[in-house]
Amino acid sequence: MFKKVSASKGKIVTIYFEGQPVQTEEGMTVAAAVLDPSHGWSRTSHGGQKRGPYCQMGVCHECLMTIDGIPNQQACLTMVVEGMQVYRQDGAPDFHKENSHE
Amino acid sequence: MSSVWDVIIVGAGPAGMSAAIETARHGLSTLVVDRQNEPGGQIYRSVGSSPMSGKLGSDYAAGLPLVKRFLECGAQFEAGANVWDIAPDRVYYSQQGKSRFVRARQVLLATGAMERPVPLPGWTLPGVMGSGASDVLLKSAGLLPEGPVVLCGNGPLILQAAVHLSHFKVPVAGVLLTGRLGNALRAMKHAAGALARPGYFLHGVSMAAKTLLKQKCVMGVRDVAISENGQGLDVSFATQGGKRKNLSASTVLLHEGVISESRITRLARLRHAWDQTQRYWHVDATVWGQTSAPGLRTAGDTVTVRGAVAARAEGSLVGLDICRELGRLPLADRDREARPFLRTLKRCNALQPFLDEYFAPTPSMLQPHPDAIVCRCEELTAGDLNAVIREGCYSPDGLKAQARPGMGTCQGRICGQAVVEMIADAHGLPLENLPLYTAQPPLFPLRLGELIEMPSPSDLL
Repeated sequence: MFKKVSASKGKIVTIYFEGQPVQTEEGMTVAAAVLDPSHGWSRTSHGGQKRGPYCQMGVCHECLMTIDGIPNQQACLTMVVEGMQVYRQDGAPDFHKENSHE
Repeated sequence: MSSVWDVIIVGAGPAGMSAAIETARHGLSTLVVDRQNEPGGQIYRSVGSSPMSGKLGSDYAAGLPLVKRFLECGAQFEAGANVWDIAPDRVYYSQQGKSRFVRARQVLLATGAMERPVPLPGWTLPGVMGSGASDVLLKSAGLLPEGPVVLCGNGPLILQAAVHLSHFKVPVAGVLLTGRLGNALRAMKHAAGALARPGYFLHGVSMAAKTLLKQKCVMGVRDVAISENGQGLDVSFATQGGKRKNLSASTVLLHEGVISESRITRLARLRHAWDQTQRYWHVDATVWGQTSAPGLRTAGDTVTVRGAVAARAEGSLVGLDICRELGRLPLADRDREARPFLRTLKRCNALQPFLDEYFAPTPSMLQPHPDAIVCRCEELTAGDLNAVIREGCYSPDGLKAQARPGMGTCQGRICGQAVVEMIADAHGLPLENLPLYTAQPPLFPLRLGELIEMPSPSDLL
C-alpha cells in the first residue's frame, strides 16, 4: 500500500516481521519498514480491532509492537537494526509472556 | 553521574536548533535532547539524510543548512531521548531503555506541534492516517501511498500533501475540504497583513490553485465516515448541498490543522492560553520565551503554531535572552543581535491572522458522530462519552475519572482536544474555561525496571 519513490542512502539490513525476513535499509523506522508486509496494521486494540500507525511521530501509540522481546515499543521511534525481531502486539501486552518470542 | 548544564533544550526542531546555535556560540554548555534519531523536527524531518533531499522544494531544503550549523555549533546532541518529566532545573529522559536525569540552569521546551486529532467513524482503520504521517514517511523513508488516496480536512498542509501526491503521480480519488465557505470572507479583513510575506502568500495561493485545478476537490464537506469494503476503504461524506457521496481509496489521509503539543508544558504547570480562532491550548510566553515559571522557557510551535520560519526566529531570540540571563550577553548586545529575528517574527505575526481565519476549523467537524471512537486507546466512542457528559460531567479530568478516556498509552494526546470540544458543546461552556487533562509523569509509558534502575536524585546530591 506504500511504495518507494526514492531509494534510501543506508545499507541494506534484514529484520524479521512475525518471523518472516524483511529487507529494509538502515535509517528506517520499524513502523516504516514493516508498513507493507504488515498491510498497515501493527497491533490490535484490547477489544481486538486492527490498528495501524496513525501519526508516525510518537504521539498516538498505535504502532506499539513487540521488538526483540520487549512489548509496548513505539515502532515509529525505533530504528531498524540487523536481525531485529518484530511482532505485532495483540491487545495489551502480557508481561508473563514478555519474552515468548525469543 | 549527574551533570549541570547551562542550558538544556528539549526538541531539535527549527526552534530548538536555532536556540542552541545562539547559546553554544556564546559559550554556554548546551545539551539538546530529541526523540528522533536526527535533528530537524517534523518540518525538517530527516533533512540531513533524506532520500528525498532536493526533491521536496525550497521550504524543506532550507532545513539542511540549519541542521548543518546546529551539528557544528558545539552543543551536545542526544538523539532517541524521550523526555518524561521536567522541573525548572531538571530534565528526566529515557534513552535506549535507560532513564537518567540531567540538571540545568535554564531549560527550553521546544517540543513543537501535532496534527489536531478529529475523530470520525472509521478513522481507526489501518490505511487511515494523518496527512502529516504520510509526509513524515515521504521525508524520512521516501515512501508514498500507492493510491488511490482520499485527502480529507482543512489547513495549508493538506494542500501541500495534495501537491506532493500529484507531483509524484499518485492517483488521488478526491480532496475533501472541510473548511467553512465563509472563512475566506472572514480572513479578508487580515489581507493587508498577509502581504507582509508576499512570497509566502503567493506560494500558498499557487498551492491552492494547483490543488483546486488538478485534483477532484469538494468544498464544504461534512459528516465524513470511513469503512472497509473488502478491497480497501470507502469514504462517505455529505456535500454542502446535503447530498451523500462515496469514494473508494486504499489510503485516507486526514488533517484538521496543527495544534501545540502542550503535554510537557502542562506537566510543568505553566500558564496556558486558549486560541479562539484555531481552538487549541498553548503555553503563554513572552517573545523571549519566558513562561510563568522562572528558568523554564518555550519557543516555536509549542508557544503558538506559526510554522518553521517563525519558530527559527523565536528559537534564536530565546537563545539570545538565555545568554543575557546567564551573563554572556549584555542587554544592549542582545537587543542588537535580536533585531533581524524580531523583524522576521513581526512579518510572520502579520500573516498569521489571515491563515488562522482562512483555515479556522469548522465547529461542527469537531463534534464527533456518536459511532466515532474518540479515545483510541480505550476504544470509547463519542456516544459512550456523551452519555456520561450529559449526566453531569463538566471537565476532561472528571470525564477521565468516570469513563476512562485518556487512560491508555497515549495518555490523552489524541482524545484530549476532542473531549474539551464535546464537553463545551454539551453544556454550552466557554472553551477557555475548560483545561485539557492534567498531565502527569511519566509522560510516556516506561518499563518498571527502567524506573527502578534509575539513580535517584537524592543519591546524587
